[in-house]
Amino acid sequence: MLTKESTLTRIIPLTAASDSRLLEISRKGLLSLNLQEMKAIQDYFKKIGHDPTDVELETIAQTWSEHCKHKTFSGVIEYEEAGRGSRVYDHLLKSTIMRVTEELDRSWCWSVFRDNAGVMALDDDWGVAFKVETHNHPSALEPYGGAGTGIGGVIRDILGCGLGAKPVLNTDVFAFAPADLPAKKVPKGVLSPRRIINGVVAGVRDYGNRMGIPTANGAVYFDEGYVANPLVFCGTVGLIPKDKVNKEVKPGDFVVSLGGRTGRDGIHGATFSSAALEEGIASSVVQIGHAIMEKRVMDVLLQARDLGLYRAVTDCGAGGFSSAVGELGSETGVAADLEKAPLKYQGLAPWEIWISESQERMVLAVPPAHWPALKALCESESVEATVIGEFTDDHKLTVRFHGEVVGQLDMDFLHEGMPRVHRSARWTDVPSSASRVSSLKTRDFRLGTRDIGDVLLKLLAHPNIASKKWVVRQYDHEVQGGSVVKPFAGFEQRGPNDACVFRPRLESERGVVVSNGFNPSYSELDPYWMAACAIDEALRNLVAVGGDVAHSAILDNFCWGDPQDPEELAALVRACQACYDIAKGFGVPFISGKDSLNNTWRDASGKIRSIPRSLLISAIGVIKDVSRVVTMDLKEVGDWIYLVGETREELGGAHLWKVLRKDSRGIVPHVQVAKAHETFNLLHQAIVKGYVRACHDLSEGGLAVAAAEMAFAGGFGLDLDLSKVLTDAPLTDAALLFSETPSRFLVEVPDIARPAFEALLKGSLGRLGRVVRSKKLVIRNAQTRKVLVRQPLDRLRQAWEVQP
Amino acid sequence: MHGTYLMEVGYKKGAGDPGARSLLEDVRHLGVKSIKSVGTAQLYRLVGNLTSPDQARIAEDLLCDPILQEYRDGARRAGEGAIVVDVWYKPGVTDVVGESVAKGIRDLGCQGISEVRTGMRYRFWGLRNREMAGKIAAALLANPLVHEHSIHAD
Repeated sequence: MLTKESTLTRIIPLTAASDSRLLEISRKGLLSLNLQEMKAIQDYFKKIGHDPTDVELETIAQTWSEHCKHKTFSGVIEYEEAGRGSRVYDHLLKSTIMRVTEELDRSWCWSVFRDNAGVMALDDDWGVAFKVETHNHPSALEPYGGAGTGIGGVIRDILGCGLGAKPVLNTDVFAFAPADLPAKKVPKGVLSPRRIINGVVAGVRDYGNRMGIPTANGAVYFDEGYVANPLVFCGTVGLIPKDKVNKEVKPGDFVVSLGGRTGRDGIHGATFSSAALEEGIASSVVQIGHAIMEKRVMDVLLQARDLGLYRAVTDCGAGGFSSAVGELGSETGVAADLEKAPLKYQGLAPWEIWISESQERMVLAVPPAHWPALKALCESESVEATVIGEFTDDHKLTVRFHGEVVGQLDMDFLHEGMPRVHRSARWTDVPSSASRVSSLKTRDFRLGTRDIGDVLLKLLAHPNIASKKWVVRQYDHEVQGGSVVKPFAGFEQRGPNDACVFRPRLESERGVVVSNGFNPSYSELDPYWMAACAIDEALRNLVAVGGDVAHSAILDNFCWGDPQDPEELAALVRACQACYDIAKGFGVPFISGKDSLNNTWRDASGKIRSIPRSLLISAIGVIKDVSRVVTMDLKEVGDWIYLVGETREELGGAHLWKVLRKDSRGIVPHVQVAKAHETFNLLHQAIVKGYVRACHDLSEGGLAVAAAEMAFAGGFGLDLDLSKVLTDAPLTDAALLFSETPSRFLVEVPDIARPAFEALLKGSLGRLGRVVRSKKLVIRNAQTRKVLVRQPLDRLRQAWEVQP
Repeated sequence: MHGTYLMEVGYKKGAGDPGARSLLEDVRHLGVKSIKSVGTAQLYRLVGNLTSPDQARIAEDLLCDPILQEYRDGARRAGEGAIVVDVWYKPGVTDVVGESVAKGIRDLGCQGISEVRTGMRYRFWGLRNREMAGKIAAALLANPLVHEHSIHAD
């Protein structure tokens, strides 16, 4: 054991420190540990009788960071609702999101919540792994590098899932401030929205394209609340053989570092991402990605996997070696010799080597007998592989530098010793039944017939709805050759498809569908219904192209403000509760997820602000026969158009208010989950039976926007009658056109299938009209005898194809 | 001989310069009305031993697109009437393009180069003064977290 300080390793006088001194150590070392945690560490070192080294303290800080341990989600939360009682959530994640998966207990879920990604069955022999990560704070500071390493990191998660999956698809969802935000609204020290947008889009593009992985699904969302804290969600789907889903480390196996060299880049990334964004962050937290290196790592890894050359693998992500090596050795014990790690340059202290987040590195457990073969394989592909230690059976994490022990911790303490956080959450917002009374209704303002056409054009041009061609066309969505439903549909490939479908195995007709749901504008009114709508939207998009909710799974990615704020935490609890209620209602399990908390920043006046409470739901499903999928463009003149699902006056948080520049009040969209589940199943049957020629989900902008998109995508006109819309009560024309009630679809059905389709979906649909030859969108109301919309398709598309 | 070699790769006249076009728009968007035109070029700083035939070979076979681009040495040249902003990664920040170029040079058979760093050179015509270039650099070209920049007049 290190008994005195060396030049490179320091001993931190912790055991005798006062409370305030403990906090100072945490703050000065960028450890992001609170007093309770520092005291638990102090107790541990008092018990073993010496002060910790910097290596030991850093290891604990990395392993216990919010980023790695999800303190809030695994803690105890006392939730209280003003005047409506309280409830204790003991482990929020287990009692909501993971509980859905446990209760549903689907046999085709092969690996859930325990590995770097979730895995579900594609067929009897192959599975698909899916993971979505965020890389928000690095992307705020250095958009290109931050976003590039975001996608690079999630690709490594897929490579490090089980014994390694082959990446076959990337997805990306971004949330930015509007590109034209006035400079006075951009806080000091923050990059302009346009720079962040361009940098992030380019960073993800360069990494994904260079690795030869298609990017075929995504979304871009704009809100001023993301000005200093953009959201960058990167997801990857991988293909994995069934017998490679599990990993097991045996004592005596070598610890092998594969891929990039270690430098000072990305030091303190894990603990930094658990802290709020402030000015004056050091450049050492920024990582720069190297896609070609990762491509080589991928090539070598998949070959070695199929040759059976290693027993376990994980990626070096947040926390670097300290997390990756510590995690692989958590069941056995492990000893690492840091001087063996290949370095980019000399002069790194042991603790820096240990926690550096240099990119493109994987850690493997290699049986000594296989090491020569692995080394030879790596050399043949110009990938560096080095033995940096071995797994033991002492249940200790031992770190050595030139033979001297610079850190040793009990695995039990490291992985189980973290005190659970206890937090209180208090929801004081008006309950949704009360807001129903005070809400703004479309009845309360006049929207003339002429205004309605204008509103529709403005909605189509709203950056959240408008074409994302400026991003999509920079991304390769065809590489690997598996694409079936692509980002764009229609004669000229200019209409927005709801989800992507691709074949990960070209020798099979089985397809995988990937979609997403993201509605932060509803969370201002009620995060419960925001989460519910996100799940509904992801599944709705999946069903619209031919997916089946009965063989689908979802992922959650929360991006939230400060969890120590009781109101903010209560909002999080409500969203989690919705995840349980709605996912359970649809019978769809969560297979993986991630959270990013502390997304706060200081505005120009120095006030601390949170981002809009955001939840991304990513859905993945298996389609048995890809010849049965449907796109959203109109196909033939004379076909019938149905609106499936009930429309209600639910305009709370709707995009209608954004283009009218009014406060977004009103009733937030509600998901009636039992009914929605039934509708989704029946519509899926109709698609499988071949009754449906085109299908598009209704989302931002409601019916009018969906109808316009279908029409200009297909190059055919529509003549629709609003009086036929299925509603719960009499609604104004504005509500019929622009309400954002979830669980609805616009469906094109040929005349021959009309009786069968109507019989199947009886009671859930309204027949609005037909596809017509004239290149116009006409929407009328037969009851009031008004023509509300009469717009040429060209004008609608021009509005939609505006670039921000 | 051992030293530092600065090479500049830019677009030939008439070959277009897509980066410059969008940068020009961004500069106008910033409110710099006097701006006339913008040019961009890649910079490579090679450290080590290099003969001048090798230097030409590296530029022609590795760094330039022979149809669209041409190279010259990166020294300042007077009389162009432009204000120039050079942007480099700070020392210590990983430069993956530089690493790939270094490997490319070795693959060409030149063994004398120990390090390559990459940067960008922007030329602005029509700016009133250097301060204006500094403002443009801060707003559009360099992120002080990872970049350092310098300004001079050509």
